[in-house]
Amino acid sequence: MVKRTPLYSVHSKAAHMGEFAGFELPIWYEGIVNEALNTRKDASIFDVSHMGRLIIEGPESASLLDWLATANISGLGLRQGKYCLLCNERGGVLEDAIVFRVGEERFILVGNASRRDFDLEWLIAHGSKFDVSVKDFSDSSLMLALQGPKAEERLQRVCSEDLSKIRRFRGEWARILGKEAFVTRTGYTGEDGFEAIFFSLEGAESIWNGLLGEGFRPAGLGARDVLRVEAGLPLYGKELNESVTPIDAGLFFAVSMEKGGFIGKEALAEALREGGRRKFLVGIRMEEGGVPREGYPLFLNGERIGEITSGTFSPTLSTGVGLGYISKQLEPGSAVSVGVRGALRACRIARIPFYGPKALSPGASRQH
Amino acid sequence: MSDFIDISGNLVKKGLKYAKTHEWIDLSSSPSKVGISDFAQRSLHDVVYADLPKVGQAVKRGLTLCTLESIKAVAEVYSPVDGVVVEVNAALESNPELVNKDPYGDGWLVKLQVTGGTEGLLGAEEYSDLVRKQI
Repeated sequence: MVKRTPLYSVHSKAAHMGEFAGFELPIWYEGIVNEALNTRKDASIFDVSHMGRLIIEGPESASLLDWLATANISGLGLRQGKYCLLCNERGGVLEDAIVFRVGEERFILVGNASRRDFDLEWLIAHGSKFDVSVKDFSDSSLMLALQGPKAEERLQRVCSEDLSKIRRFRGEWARILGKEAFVTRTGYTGEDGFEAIFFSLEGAESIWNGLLGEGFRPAGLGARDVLRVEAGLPLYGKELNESVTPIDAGLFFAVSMEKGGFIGKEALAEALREGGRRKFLVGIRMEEGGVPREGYPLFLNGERIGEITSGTFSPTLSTGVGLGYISKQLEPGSAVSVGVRGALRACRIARIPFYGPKALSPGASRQH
Repeated sequence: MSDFIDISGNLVKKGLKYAKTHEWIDLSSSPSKVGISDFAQRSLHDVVYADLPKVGQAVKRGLTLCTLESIKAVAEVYSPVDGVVVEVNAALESNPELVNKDPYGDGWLVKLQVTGGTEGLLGAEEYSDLVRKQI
C-alpha cells in the first residue's frame, strides 16, 4: 500500500503528487526550477516526514551504533550529529544516515525512506547482543526541512531558541510555533538551513501553514533531488548500494578507522591496502545541450568507463549535471562523453559539489 | 471571439490540426509549423532542452520528430505528418522554456514541408474532447 505523510491532505491540494520509496509525495508545487532557485536565494520548506527515524536508547546504545556505523558515534557530544554509513562485512554500503546524540544514552538515527524497514531490522538484529532498545518513531512524528540563505531569519521569528548558536551538524530542543521540536542545522540541498523533528503529529498542518506564513515557499521532491545533485550529495539506491564502499563513493571522511571495530572495517582496511577505490564517484558537467540521466554510459576516447547514476538539468548552473561512477581516476576538467540516445555528447569530469560553499558539503562534519 | 478553447485552463488553439499524441501543425501555410499543445507542455513541465532534428531530415507520421527534456523526464515528440524538416526553431537552443511559455507561438519546434499523412488529424474541437478525457 502506498503510504502518506501527515501533511498529505495539504500537499494533495497544492502539488503535483508522485510516488517515491512507497510514499505518495509532492513532486512540485509551482515548478521544479522555481522551487530549486527559491531554495538557493531565499528559503523553502520541504516535508521530509517520509524519511526513517529511529530512537536507540540504553546503556549500550553508543556501543551498538559504533559497531554498526562507520563514524565515531560514542565520541559525539550532546546534541551533536554525524553523517555515517552502515556497511556489510564486505564494506558495501547498506545505508547512509545521520546519527544525533540526544541524551547520554539516547540517539536518533535519520535514514532513507527506502531503507526504513532495513534499518529497523538491522538495528534490532544486532541490538539483541547489546543492552539497548530500538524504536521506529517515523510514523508518529513530523519532519520538515527549512533550507536556504534566509531559512534562519525566517525560522527565528517562530522559534524559541537562538538559531544562530546552532552550528552545522548540531541540534537544539526548541519550540517552533509553540510545538516541541529537535532542530538541527543540517540538510540535503547544499544550502544553509535546518531540519526539525516534531514528536507529535498534533497540529501538523498548522505548523506547515504557519511556516508558509513566515515566507517559506513549499518545495517538492523534484527540487530536493535537483538540489542534492547540484550539491553532489549521494542518494541511497542511486550512488550508494551494497556493491560500492564508502571509499568508492568518496565518503571516506565519514569512516573512522581509528575507533574500535565496526562491521565492514576489515574489508575497508584491506581495500585501502590494495589502493582504495575500485571505482570513482565523479561529477559530470555537460559541455553541450542535453541532460545526463541515470544509466547513460560514459566514454573516454571511445572506451566505456562507467555510467551516470543521477542526473538533472541544473537551474543554478543552467546546464546538465550528473553523478556517476567511472572505472579510472580522472582529474576534474578531463574531457569525456556521455551517450545520449545513441549519440555521444561532450562533457567534463567536474568537482563536486557543483554548487555551494565547500563548508556545507558532508565532509564539513569532520571539523565539528 | 477567442482564438482558443479553454479546457480547465488547458488552451486549445483554433485553426490548427492536432495529433492524438498532442502535437499541433498549422496546415494553413506551407511550410507548416509544428509544436506541442498547451496540455502537452503542462504535462511535461519546465522544458530545459530541445533536441531538434537536422534541416533536410525526412520525418514519418507517428515517428519521433524530436525530443524534449524537462528536468525529470525525456519526452518524444512525434511527427503529426510525413514531411521534410525545412527549419528548426533556433530560439529554443538558448530559450527552451519558450515551449512552456508560448506553445502555440514562439515555442514552435520545426517547420515541415508536408508530403502526406494529414488524414486523421483532429480539429480543435475534436482535440478538445481528447484533452477533456485526459485531465
